[in-house]
Amino acid sequence: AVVSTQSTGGVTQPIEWRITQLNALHQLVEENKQALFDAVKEDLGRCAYETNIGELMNIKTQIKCILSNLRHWMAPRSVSTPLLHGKGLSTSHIIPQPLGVVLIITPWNYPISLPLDGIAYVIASGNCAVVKPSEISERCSALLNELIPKYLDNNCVKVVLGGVPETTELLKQRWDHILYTGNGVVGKVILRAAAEFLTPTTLELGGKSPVVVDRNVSMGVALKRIAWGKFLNCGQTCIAPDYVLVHKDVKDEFINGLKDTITSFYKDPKTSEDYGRIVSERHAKRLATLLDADRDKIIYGGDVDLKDKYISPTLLYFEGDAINNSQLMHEEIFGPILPIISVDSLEDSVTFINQRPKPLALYLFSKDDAMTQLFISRTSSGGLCVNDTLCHFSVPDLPFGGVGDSGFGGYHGQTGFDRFSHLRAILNKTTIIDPSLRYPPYDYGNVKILGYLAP
Amino acid sequence: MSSKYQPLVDNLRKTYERKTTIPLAWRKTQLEVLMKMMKEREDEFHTALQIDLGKGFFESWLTETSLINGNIQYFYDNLEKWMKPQEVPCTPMLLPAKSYVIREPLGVILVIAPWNYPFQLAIVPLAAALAAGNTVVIKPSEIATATSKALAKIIPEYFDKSVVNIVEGGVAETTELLKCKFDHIFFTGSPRVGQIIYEAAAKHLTPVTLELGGKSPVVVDETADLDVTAKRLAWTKFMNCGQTCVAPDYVLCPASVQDKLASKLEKAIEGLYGKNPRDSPDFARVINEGMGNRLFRMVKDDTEKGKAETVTGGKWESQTRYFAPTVLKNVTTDSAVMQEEIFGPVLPILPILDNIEDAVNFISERPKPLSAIIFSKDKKNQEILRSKTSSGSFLINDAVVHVSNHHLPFGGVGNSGIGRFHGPYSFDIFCNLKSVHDNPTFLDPSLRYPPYTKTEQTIIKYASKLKAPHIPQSLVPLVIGVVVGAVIVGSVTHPGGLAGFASQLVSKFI
Repeated sequence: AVVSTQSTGGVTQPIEWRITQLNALHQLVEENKQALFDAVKEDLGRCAYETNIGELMNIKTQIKCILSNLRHWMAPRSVSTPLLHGKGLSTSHIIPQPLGVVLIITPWNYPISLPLDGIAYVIASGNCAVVKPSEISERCSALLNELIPKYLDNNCVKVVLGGVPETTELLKQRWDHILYTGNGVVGKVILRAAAEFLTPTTLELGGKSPVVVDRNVSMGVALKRIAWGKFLNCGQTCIAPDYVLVHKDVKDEFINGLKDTITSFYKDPKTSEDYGRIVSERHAKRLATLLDADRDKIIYGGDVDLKDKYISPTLLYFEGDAINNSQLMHEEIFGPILPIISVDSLEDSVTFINQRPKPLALYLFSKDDAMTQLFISRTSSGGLCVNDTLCHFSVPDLPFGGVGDSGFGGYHGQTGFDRFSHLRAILNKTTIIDPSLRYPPYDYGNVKILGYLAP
Repeated sequence: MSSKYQPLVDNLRKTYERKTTIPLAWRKTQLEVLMKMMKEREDEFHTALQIDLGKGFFESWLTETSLINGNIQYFYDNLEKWMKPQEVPCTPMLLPAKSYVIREPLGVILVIAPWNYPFQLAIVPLAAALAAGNTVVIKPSEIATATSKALAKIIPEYFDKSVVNIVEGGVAETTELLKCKFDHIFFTGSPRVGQIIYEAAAKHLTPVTLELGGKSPVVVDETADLDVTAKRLAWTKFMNCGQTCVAPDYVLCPASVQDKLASKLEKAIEGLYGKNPRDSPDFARVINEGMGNRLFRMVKDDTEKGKAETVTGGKWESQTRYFAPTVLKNVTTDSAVMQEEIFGPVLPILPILDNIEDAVNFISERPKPLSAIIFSKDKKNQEILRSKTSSGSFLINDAVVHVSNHHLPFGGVGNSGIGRFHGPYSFDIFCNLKSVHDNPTFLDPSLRYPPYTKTEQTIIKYASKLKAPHIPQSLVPLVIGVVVGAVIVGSVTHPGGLAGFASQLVSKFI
């Protein structure tokens, strides 16, 4: 059954409804923390601390941002009217309108925040939502299916559980927008289905997000932030640092420092409460296969326990062109395996990155402002952090999204609100004046006058 | 799947990859070259438009050239500002990091232009794409043959093939082009072809802007000023011989208004084009015989079956492609003219409006149009129609003209299209909006990193409860002003000045 805005009788339009729903969403998170922690622990083996800072706090930040700004975003945006069309007497506005019903399809790696984040922005723009959370994060999806009807308006937000067959059925329907987070292969399927109905889409995909470590770097901070970004959620983050390009002059300091940092984080990762697991045996097997192909390059970790879905934090080192032959460079790793590649200069890292598809995120660790600016302007990615990893995701006013193979359409902040709205242009034309030089029969002598009046 | 156009696209991509297109100076140069081209070759383009659409110089200037020049100038004047990083507030918990958005080029853009404004809808996207630092392929419409030829001849005289390339042709050439990967496709045309473009783009995960069409309804109520209504309706309908995507498609009015409106429309048409519009230099022509035959068949069918009555017009001369400005009244909802976008000089009037809700229902039952129009003096009716229907744009007491306001986003919704164009929107669609988070290294609280101790867990638990306010963008200057003001007042009134005030604050809170 699909929600239709006709059946909701325009209920989603008023700001009061949207605020009520957003507050209810906030409550859902606040009142069910333990249940959410437990569900994520069961599905992903991720500890409560990381679920808190990586998922729950993020949703709350986004909701706070929306609530503070909603009235302003919803308000008619006045723009100037050209002289020719009666500036001062006519008015021109942009009024955001809901699109209708938005389909949100989310993955298993952030199984709480990605569905709720999507719902928050979709509701904020006055739409109804149908959420299809991942069947792989079973426990979390079941929990959302139980909690969402308890807190949100059942006529306007629905959950559909299932896998490929259910998604295929859903895609046969007409939607007013589709928000898909996942991989490029399925992204193309979504897009083809959307094309059938001319449905606009937002695709949050992935790719290999590189980290570049310059020789002029605050090494202590860099080591911690890179290790943190990589091993959070056991590397299963769309914007996780995928591989490192380190300047040859600091390569040894970096590698040794990174080993120490990981040890300081987890001591014994297998027994550490703070270290997660791979989502399924199948995914763990994929990672184990990748490791086996490059066993001789492993310089730290490399322990695998498939039954426990455990892969230890693993570092590999590649010199010269060896990396090009590795399967590790041909797919998004999406796990706690970090290839480290030595480069001769920052220039070389720019070339390396630009030879490959545009990533979802790019990370540069450097103290040199000039080099930083050069790097930012000469590479392209969805987002970029200087001297950090992952954090741009939780700055609500930064649009979050990809470019090229990593996706298109960003959301968060006002960009998120606008993404799920239709920005309707409104011209209210005065009838008091109606200059005849606009109409035929055209007097060619008027061209100059019109040239001054027209924008 | 390899395409014969792959080398051409690769060449354009090399220019982008070399980062030649990034600097402001390069982009400004491209716009200057475009301005030069427009100044020097305007006449040739006007001639082509005359051949393709029978458009007189004035209308070509008004609806094509002046819009192109205006847009290029607008991009030129605002480019430096748009290229600057756009700062956004940072989450309090992530301070003192700096957060900003940078607009960077996408790569190679494909612009597929239609035949109805074949010059404007090729050059304005070209200008926007170049301003945004991209390289471009233009596929002009093969139906507007003279304009296509003119573009193919003139553009290479101003732009190198490694920056802008023109590919002429029809379905076969477009299909071949679509096998290549582009970084954005800008398409103007029908919803049917829009679907094909979108599907082809899906294979490469290419984002698209689709400027499509539909039936743009006009509601005329009892309070409308019928003289102004008739004049504006007639002009916006019959300009470009009705071949405008946002042209009024059909009229809904109360039965009591129909006859008066119809007769004023007839008079307005005569006022615009004279007793014989065929002789007016200001009345354009249908693009080709096929389109004219389609229109003629629809009108003939409907009038013969009693589904419409001719008020004026109806004449079609295939040799000269002249189709008379035609107004039909007492049109039924099952008539041929109501089944598809008319895109020609035929204006049906349906006298079925008892109240404004009828209009709301009629319009909402149909695909969302590119534009919706109301002629009325009743603010309540205006508001009801605006708030209860959806369309790309909404106009009160006029039609079409919003297209020339840079500040209003132009585009459709639902079946009428995806994406926004004009003004700053044109720039944004051809950019990647890159989010940048710049975190200084002097502050690095350990509670972020494992091992996550019980103490840290408690801190985070309470920190997340803190209603650390998210300061909305609009209030940030005020907050800064208040804080700075407080510091100034504190320093001025404290006997120890700023130092004394600061040390008092420190001793109080630490």
